[in-house]
Amino acid sequence: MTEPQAPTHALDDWLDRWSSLLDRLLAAGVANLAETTRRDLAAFRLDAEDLGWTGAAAKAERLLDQNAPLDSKAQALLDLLSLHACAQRLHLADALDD
Amino acid sequence: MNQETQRWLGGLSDEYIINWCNKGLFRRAGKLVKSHPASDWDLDSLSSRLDGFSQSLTSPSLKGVQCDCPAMDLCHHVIALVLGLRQAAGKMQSDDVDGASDQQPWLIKSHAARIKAVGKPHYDRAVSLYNRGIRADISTDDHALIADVVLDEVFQVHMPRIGSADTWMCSCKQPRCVHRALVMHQACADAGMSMEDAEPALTEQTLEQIRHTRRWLTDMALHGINGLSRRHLDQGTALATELGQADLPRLAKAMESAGRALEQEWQRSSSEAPGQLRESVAALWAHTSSLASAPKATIASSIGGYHRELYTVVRGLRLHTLGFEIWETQSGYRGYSLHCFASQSGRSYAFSEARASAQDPSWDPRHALAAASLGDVRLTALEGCSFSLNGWATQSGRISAKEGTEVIDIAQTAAHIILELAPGLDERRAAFARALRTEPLGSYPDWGVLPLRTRYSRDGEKSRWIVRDNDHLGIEFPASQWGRKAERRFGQYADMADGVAGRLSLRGRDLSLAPVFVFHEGKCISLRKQQ
Repeated sequence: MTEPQAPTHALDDWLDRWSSLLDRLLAAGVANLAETTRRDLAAFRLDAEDLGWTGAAAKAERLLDQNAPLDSKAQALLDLLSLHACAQRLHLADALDD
Repeated sequence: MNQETQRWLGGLSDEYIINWCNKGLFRRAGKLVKSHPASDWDLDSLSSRLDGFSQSLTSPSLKGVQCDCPAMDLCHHVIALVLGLRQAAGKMQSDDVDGASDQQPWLIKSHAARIKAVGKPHYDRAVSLYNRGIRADISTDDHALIADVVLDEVFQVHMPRIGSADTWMCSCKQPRCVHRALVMHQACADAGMSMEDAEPALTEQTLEQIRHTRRWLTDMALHGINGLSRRHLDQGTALATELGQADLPRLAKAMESAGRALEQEWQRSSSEAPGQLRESVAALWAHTSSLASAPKATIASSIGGYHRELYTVVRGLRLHTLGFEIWETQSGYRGYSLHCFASQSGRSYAFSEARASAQDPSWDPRHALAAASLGDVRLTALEGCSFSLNGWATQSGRISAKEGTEVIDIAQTAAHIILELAPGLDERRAAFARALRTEPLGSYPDWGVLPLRTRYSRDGEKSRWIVRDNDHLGIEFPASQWGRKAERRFGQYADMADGVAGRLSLRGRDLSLAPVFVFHEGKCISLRKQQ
């Protein structure tokens, strides 16, 4: 996983927004992306690139790719879920050590 | 007598020889040796004549001794020959013999040779034990490696520096055993040898279960949980069973958890997936990714999980009783637990008994608790006491009451002593942080005694409290009848508690405690004990 470059205080909010987006994606499925979800996903991809989360940005790009096979999009979502869970836990480890 | 034989005889300890035979034969052989002069042991031919029978040593190993007496099995004559030769060898002028040796025949490079040395079933079991954190207490001297292996009993393993695996002895008396295999495996691992072949390979059937699980997850991500049918959930339930049968219990649990979260989500019919489902799916996907991409398709036991916890011997484990808990689970189990705190390690231990309500509806945990014993001591007599346990416990702190358990040195203990001995919240948080960094997607429930001499207050949310002046610990109660009762009792002490004890877990971004005991005015009060 790519190391985050974001300051710690910004990471909390960003991880929260990320989990809300993932919850919506998991509820609706990648085969039925709503326009608002696509817009949020595009914003997330830009954020992820800015913050140095290149792996997460690449998965978001795959989800937005109109030509990508559906199975590979589904796997990109599952990869994002795993990345997010790891990021959240490692961030929690930092918070517990503070 | 050549140097090798002299070195071998010099390295034979009494314990090693007793492990080979038994104390009775050893004693008889010792008497026989005393009754014969040193000249009766022929150091050139390595032979003797005792009680009219002939003995000889053909090679420096216990398998190389023979006697022509009519005994069907090992006789005291061959032990006497070994003892007699050892005694005579010790008196030999040995200026040109170096008694010490740097040979380490227990370090075996090739995986196949390791299996050959101890036998495949023992080796596989030893690897499994090693991966679960079981370690032998190993020491070496000039003559041998000696190790204590603590499992359901304490076994002593002896591996001489001279000789092959055939000369390795264990107090279990079996010709081959898991104890020797574990010591060899651990010694090789400690020496930095490559152990990458040690994990058993995944079978094609197991790989198929992993592929099915990933397909099941992919379908969920494809159609979304709102687009799935009941059939998908049923498939998940069947997969959980198959994963358990395929020796992947950890994945089976994650699948069960995902299935439960999915069911709850359908009942809730929301436009967002719940966090619990997200976390279960994330862990399942990450674990199956690791297994599917493992080199040579091997089972990483830490990912696959273990079906049962190991009980190992404990001796003189000093425990302070916190109290009793009567409990029931949402999955339909009822039971009681005796919770204890180990002053030396700061860890918690529990002895529990439980039944499925559906299978045994007449079983009452209160009556069972009143009748239960640990060793010869009634469980209820241990309230407010400290005691030493000789028995068996798991690494996670579960105590067994199997035959042979002893409870000794019982003394009254005031609850404030437990609080003084317990590690603080900062230490707990640091331990959780370490565990998270080691394995971010693991599950880390723990029992903790927390000496938090602060006040508690509701944070506005139902069934959730916070420790005032410390926003790093939430106090939560399960949404069950028992949770409500416990919360009512907790409320009585919330403004004057000296500490709490209960189940610690990760909730969102911080630690959360489901309290079972409250410390107040020198007492440890149970919140989940039916009056």
